Order: sequence, then structure tokens, then C-alpha cells
Amino acid sequence: MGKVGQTTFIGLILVLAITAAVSPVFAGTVDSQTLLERTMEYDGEAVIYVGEVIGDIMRRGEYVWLNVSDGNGAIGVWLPAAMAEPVKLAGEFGSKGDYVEVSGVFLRACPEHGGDIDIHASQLTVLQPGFTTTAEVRSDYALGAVVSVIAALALFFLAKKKTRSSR
Amino acid sequence: MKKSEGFNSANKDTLLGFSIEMAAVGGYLILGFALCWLMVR
Amino acid sequence: MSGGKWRSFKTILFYTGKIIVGIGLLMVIPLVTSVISREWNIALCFVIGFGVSTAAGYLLQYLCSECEPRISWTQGMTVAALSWLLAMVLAAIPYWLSGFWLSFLDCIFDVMSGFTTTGLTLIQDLDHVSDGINMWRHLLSYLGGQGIIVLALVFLTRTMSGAFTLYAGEAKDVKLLPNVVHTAKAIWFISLVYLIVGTAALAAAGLSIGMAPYRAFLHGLWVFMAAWSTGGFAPMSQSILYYHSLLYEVITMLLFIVGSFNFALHYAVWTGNRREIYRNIELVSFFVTSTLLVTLATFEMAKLQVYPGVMALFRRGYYQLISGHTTTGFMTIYARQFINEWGSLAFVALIAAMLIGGSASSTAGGFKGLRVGIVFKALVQDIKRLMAPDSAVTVEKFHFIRTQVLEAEYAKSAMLIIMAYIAMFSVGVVANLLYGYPLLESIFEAASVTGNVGLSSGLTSAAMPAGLKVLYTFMMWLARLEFMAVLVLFGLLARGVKRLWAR
Repeated sequence: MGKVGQTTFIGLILVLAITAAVSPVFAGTVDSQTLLERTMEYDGEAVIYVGEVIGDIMRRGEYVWLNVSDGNGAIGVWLPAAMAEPVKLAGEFGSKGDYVEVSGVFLRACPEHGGDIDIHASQLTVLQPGFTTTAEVRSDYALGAVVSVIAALALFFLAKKKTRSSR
Repeated sequence: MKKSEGFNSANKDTLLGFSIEMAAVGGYLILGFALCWLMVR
Repeated sequence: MSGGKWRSFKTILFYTGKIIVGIGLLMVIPLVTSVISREWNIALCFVIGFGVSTAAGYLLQYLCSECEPRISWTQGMTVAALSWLLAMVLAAIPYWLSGFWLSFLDCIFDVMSGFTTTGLTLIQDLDHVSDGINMWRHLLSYLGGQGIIVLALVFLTRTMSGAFTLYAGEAKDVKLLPNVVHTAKAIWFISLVYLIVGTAALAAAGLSIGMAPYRAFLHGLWVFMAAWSTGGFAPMSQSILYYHSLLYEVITMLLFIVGSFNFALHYAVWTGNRREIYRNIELVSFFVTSTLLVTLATFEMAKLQVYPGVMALFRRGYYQLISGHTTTGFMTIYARQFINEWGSLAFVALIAAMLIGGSASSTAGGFKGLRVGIVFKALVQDIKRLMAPDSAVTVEKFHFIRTQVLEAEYAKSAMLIIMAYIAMFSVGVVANLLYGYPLLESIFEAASVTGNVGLSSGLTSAAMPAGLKVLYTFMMWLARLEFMAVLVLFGLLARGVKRLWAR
């Protein structure tokens, strides 16, 4: 590399270093277990959190609460209603909610929300829309149901007859 | 002490009883909140 | 002789059979819930559970129909213990079939946790659990709570009924203790009122915070049942934190505190004896211990700045302390935060709160306020005796529905049971440590199990060793059954009052 190349290279490194120094620390994608175990460490940090929206999309005026679960834990996400607009489905039994990526500030004891753990989102992306699954009725359970009910009925009548005769 | 006739059904006493319980617990919570407030002052 | 014994045994089995049928019939409730929510396979799980339970129950009745027409008290207690164990296995069947638990032992653990209104859970993927299963979980907790009360009061009335009259003051008022039917009616009436009001309040709160109507209703019902029974199961994995709502939290607190009251107190206050609300030794005891422990904990939390501001301190610090003291187990923080964020004083205060517990003859666990109050007064009495001249006779009184004399045997009985609890707690701590868990978690979880609380530091999980699961199950059962000892105490109380007035 010529002198110009070297200088440019060093200049680029410097620019990157300064940018990194003044930018908020981006923790990269962090999972719920890490966040919940190391709350003090991540308090006030910008994080990227990925997971499934579960339960309810709770609209509170101009804002929305989402509870996002990555399978090991669920964390509440607070965001403006407009930002939450692309979120359509919250997962429950028989459905998987929208799989979202949230960028925001993680708070250990959010002063705005009575000290709870939450993420105030600055950006939300739906990575994969949710879907409902219709489970097929299990034939073995159906059979078991029929058999057990018949047995119960049979024993019911037997017991009633015997009790009546012994009185 | 008044004579007890056992339990009959909803009447003035039961409504009052319910209110007393709720008021007592509500007051207790307010006290708890006041305690927290004292601590952070 | 052997024929008579065999007949006695058959009587026990016969009535056990009846109760088992009852368990099966109760499964219709979650069954209907599943059908309404269109969870067909889950509905089948409950049909099978229903079928197996009722079949087992009728089988017992069929085999043991030649039994005695009347059942003695000892037989009754045996029936209670036996049906408890059988019900534990049968109620676990729908859990097991649903696939939300990793082993049958885990299912049994959760059933016992429900019946004993503890609230620790080994369920997997709670956030995707079916409505039917959630209904069964909360119903078990509710029934566990109600069942204990009914059993306790039946026992109470049996001990105190008969030719038992009380003379109070100079007015010579004759007050007959309510008989079983009236008492049972009262319990169910009071419970029903709270059920309707509580569910409505929570459902309305759910709607106001942005939940869909059907979900708001179901959650309202379930959270009510868990709060009233001081059980602590919650429909979502984040417990009450899921709702992110002060309103929701306040309603749960109102409900679980009132749910931790002695049922004799409810009866008294609801039938005109309103002064009981501030004279009852258990409420006084709870007020004193909770205020003291909350003061200590919040003082440290404020000093260490664990929470920013009064609202946070109230919703995260105070909430967990009261949830622990009433042995409910609802949480508005995450399990690991107890260990990682709370200071030592707050931690210790919470342990003490969990162990002291709620009221006797209620759904709450722990030493019970009655015992703590009695022991304290006995201490005061001893000090007075030391200071008074030898000729003086010191009589210490306490108020529990009636003002009564604190006899030496009450204090002794109370102390013994408290020591039994401490012994069980110690066994729990040691077992946790033996399995390699850290000290704080070991202490915390042992206290939670001993007091049938349900708060967790994260130790309780499906990954726990099987031996520990078995131990916890047994401990939860033993801690809950202590009500037998409570009622022996009440029996002593009854006899004591009789003797006093006979003088």
C-alpha cells in the first residue's frame, strides 16, 4: 500500500473508533435469560431482543404493551401504537405469534412503569408473521375417551344396583 | 352480644360485612403505600 | 373381629370412592372450557380424566357397598387423607395427556401445588397453554382452598358442638355455635360473593388494559381463584407482571389479603360482629408482623436504591412482601431478581414473612398468625409473672371471636407446631444444599415450600432432580395438612372455655 493508502486506512480506523466510542453500546442480540440474570449489567443499555409476541397486544392510548417471549422468558416491550402497527397476532394455544425483532433500551426498574423490567422500543420489525395451527383430533385419545366413559357408565350402574339392593 | 340465628342470606349485615372487609384491606394498602413513601423521602 | 375391621376399611373406601367421583365430575368444568375454546384434543384429555376418575370411584363404591351406615370421625379423617392421595394421581391424568409437562411426577407436583394452594409450577410453555388446562390448574387451587376451609370448619363444629353453650358477660346471653349446615352455607355464600365481585373487577380491569373480552374474562376468573385461595398460579409465565397494570396489581392485593383471612373472621364480620376486624388476634398479629417486615425491607430497598421512587417501591418491593406474607405467591418481578437485586435485609424479611404466613383456618400457610400471637402473649405473660409478687395470679387474655384466657397448653401447642415448621424448613434447606444449589436460593425455595407460598428464586424447575420434586410434593402436603394441628388447638380452646365458664 502506498502512503496515501496507509493514511486512508488509518483514517478509516480512527473514524470507526470514534464512532464506536460515542455511539451507545449495542449489545447485539441478547436472549431473555441473559437479560433477566444480568439485569444490573444491562440496565439502561440499548439491546436487540428477538422473540414471539404472546398473549395480548395491549393498546393503552397512544402506546402498546407487548410481551415478547423467546422460549425461556418473556419480557414486556413498550412502544408507540404506530410502531406496533405491523404486529397482528399474539401467540396462545394453537397459534404462534408474530416473531419480532425489537431494538430499544432495556430497563431494570423502569421509573415510568412503576419499576418493572421492560424494553422501551425504538424500532420493531416483524421477522416472521404468526400463524394458527389446527391440530388433528387424536384417534388414540378419542378411543380412550370412549372406552373410559363406557367403563364409567357400566360401573356407575353396577354400583347403583348394588347400593340399592344392600339398603 | 346478640343472639345468632345461624346464617340466613344476603341482608344489611352481609353488605356491611363485605364493605368493612374491603375498607379494612384498602386502608391497610394505603398505609403500606404511605410507608413506602416515607422511605423514599 | 376381622369382619368388623374389614367393614370399617370398606366404609373408608366407599366414601373415598364418592369423593373420587366428585373429582371426576369437576373435570367437566375444564372440559366445557376446552370445548368453548375449540381445543378438541384437550377436551378429550378431560373426557378421559373424567371417565377414569368416575370409573375408579364407582368401582370402589361397587366393591365396598357393604359398609357401615354412619361414619366416625377417625374414619372421616382417613377418608380425607386417602382421597387426597388418590385425587392427586387422578387429577394429574389430564395434565399428563395434555403434553405440557415433561413427566408424570411433574404433573403430580403441580396437582399437589394446586391442592395445597402453594403455586410453584413445573409446567412447560405456560404462555401457550390451553384454556382447558389453565382452567383445571386454577380450579384445583380454588378447590384446594375451599376444601380446607370446609374440612376445618366441619372439624371445628364437631369439636365444639353438642351441649356447648357460652355465657358472655353478665347479660347471660346464650350463643349457640352455628351448626355445620349453616356454616357451610355461610362459607359458600361469602365465597360466591367474592367470586362474582372479584372476577368482575379483574375482568373489567383486563378490558381496560387492552385485553380481548374472552381473555379478560378467563384471566379475571383464574386470577381471582388464585388470589382468593392464596394459591399463586397465574395464567402467564410472567405472573402478574404480564399485565403491566397498577390497577390489576391493586385488585389482586385486595383479593389475596382478604383471602388470607380466617374464615371464622369472615363469618363473624358478615353476621354483624364487625368489631372482630380489629380485635381478632390473627389480624393484629398479621398487621404487626407485616408492618414490621415491610418497614425493614423497604428501608433497605430505599437506602440501596433498588427501586426508583415510591410507586416502584410499592409495586415491586411491598407487593412481593405482602404476596409472600399472605403465602399467595403472585409476582410482579422475575425470580432471579430476588437473588440478584434485593439486599440481605429485604431478603431476610421476606423469608420471615413467608414462614410466618397468614391466618389459621384459611387458605394461607406458614406458622399462622394465631400461633405467633399466642406465643407473643405467652411471653408477655411470663414476663409479667416474673415481675409480679408471688401471690398475684396473672391471667393473659386474647381475642379470637371471643375473648378467652390464654391457657398454658395453647402456648405449648403453638410453640411445638412452630418448631415443627422450622424443622421442616431446615430439612428443605439442607436438601436443597445437598443437591448443590446455592445458599440463598436454597433458603428461599425451602421457605416458599414450607409456607405453601409459591414465590420462586428460580430453583423450582422441571430440570430439578426428581428427589427434590418428591420432597417438595411431600412438604407441601405436610405443611397444608397441619390444619389438623390447628384444629387440635381449637379443640383445646373450646374445652378451655368450657372449663373456664364452668368454674
